[in-house]
Amino acid sequence: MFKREDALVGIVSVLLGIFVLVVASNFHETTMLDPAGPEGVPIILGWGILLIGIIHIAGALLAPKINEDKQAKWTKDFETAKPVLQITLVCILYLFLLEYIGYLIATPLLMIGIMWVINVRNVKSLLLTSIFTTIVLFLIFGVALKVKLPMGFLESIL
Amino acid sequence: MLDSLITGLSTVLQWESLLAIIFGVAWGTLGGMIPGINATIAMALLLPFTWSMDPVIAIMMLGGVYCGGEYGGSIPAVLIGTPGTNAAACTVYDGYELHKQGKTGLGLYTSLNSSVIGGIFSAICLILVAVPLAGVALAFGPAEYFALAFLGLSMICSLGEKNVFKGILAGFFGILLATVGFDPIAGVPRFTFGFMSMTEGFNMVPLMMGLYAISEMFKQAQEVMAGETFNLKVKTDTTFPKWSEIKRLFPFNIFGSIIGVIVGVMPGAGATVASFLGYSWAKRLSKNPDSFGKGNPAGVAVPESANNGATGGAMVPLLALGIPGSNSTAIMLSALMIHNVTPGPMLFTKSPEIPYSLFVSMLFANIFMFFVGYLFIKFAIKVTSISKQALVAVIIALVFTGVYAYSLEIFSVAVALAFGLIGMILRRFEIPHTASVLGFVLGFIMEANLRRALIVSEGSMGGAFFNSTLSSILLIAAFASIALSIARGVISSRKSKTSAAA
Repeated sequence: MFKREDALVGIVSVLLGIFVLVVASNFHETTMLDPAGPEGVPIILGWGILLIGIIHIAGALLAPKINEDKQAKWTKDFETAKPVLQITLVCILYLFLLEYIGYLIATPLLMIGIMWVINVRNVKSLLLTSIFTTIVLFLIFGVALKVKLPMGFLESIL
Repeated sequence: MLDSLITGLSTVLQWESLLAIIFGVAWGTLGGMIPGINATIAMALLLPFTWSMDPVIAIMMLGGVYCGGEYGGSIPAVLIGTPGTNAAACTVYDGYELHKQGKTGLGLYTSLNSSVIGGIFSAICLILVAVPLAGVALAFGPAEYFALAFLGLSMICSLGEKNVFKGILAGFFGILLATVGFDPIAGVPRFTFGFMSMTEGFNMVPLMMGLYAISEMFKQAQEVMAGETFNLKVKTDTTFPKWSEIKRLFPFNIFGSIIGVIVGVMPGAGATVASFLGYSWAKRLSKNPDSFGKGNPAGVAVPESANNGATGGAMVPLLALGIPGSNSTAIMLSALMIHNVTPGPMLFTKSPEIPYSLFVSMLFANIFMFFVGYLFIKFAIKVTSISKQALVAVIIALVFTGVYAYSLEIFSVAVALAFGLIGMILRRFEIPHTASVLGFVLGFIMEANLRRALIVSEGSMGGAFFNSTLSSILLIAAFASIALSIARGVISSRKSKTSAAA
């Protein structure tokens, strides 16, 4: 049932459980009319998460040790996480720039950035896909559904 | 009743009515297919156009939109692992797996057939037993709602597969997410940390989009960079399934439809709750529960029948009691009021042609949905056959745009991205995000009704939950289910240790 790496799950769960209990203890509105109060369910959840975390830590300590190169494993984990982190960075930049440069410019840049991360290097593909998709999405959401998409500095021009 | 039914049928069998229903179904299906748009939004967009229409035709068109919208979300759920609507989230588990195994046609057409069957079943229930069904809605008070949600949540124990505690942990995490925002009874802000955007809590759309779509696209990106072929490893079969395959799923369709109708009747529950409850109970009662989530067509059939089964059920409290049970039926109520129609018990005696025309029109809407859905499936398959690397970027852009369109806040897009990362972490440590979503969907209903029941009983737990036969039965079933799941998990773990030692 348990693996050694579940110790990490256990530690995070214990920390989360403690966090929930500490924060929930500040929700003070219990009255005779509402016996459970706003803290009732969060406190039950906090204890539940804490308990499951302890179970995982205990289970991980009792789990059979597998002989493996920990350094190689962490390197492999990092390599597989790299594209995710890179795409996340591109998305965060998109979120920051969206209001300033507007949807029509930010979205093609988002798509180009994502495709670049996953090794698309053909400039024609990058441009065609990103521009065509942005136009279609803009027509559906901005024009047909009349969603007010952020236009950034283009708002003053258009 | 027969006279009213014949009047309803004659109203539906006019060209204007049939065209309105077909348009409604097509519009709803298209809206359901686009992540961030759902049946409610699709209906709301058409509402202003109904002012100049005949009230009965307007209501029939909106009914068509509702039916199409609840189905449409399953198309992207199967093809790209992104539910177009919240109610199609369960369809992702097995539908997308079927697509990855090359059985795209089986996944897509199973969802279509199941939605049609669920919708027709609920329309027939509406026609035959609408008024008695209204009594079911009244039988459910806070204690019963809590017990039902608790029973649904007991499913999280069996979602952990090899580690039952991970399933419970994920479920608790999902319920915890549902507590963020203003408390439903006292109005106290919880876990908001001073952020105004958090006061309304996490919206289901960015959470689902993040956990399903964004995390799946992250996973696809990892596979591309690891050198795995991005394309499906097997030849894709997009043909309509054989009659034997369709027939085999009928019992699951009926099971899902019944759950859909009953849950749909309960105000505040809706198609999403119906699909999750249907899926969880089908897995629990199955002879082969481990096959769910690995491309079992029943995992598509049950939730799709349930979510479309809920469409008819949701009309019962609206028309018989004047209570809109969901956002979509609230739009219907607006349409009725615009046209000076007051829903409630008197509607069935004073103007029976209105409810019965709607009931008959929903029957026709679900039949038309088969043909409309068939065409949309053909179109959708072509669209998703583009370069897979481009598809990752297109889907992320689509999801971000859809989430922004839903809430008009960049914060929601950031939430979707954050849940995408959380989804990746959950996958890495084999923590089932299904359980988190189940916890989130049912957590709010469970807590709000738990506290209402305790208020009514003045703090007495026994008085709150065991005075009612219905809630007692549901709670006993839930505890038995939890005990069984934990025992099964521990026994299975011991067996695998023993066989490994041997």
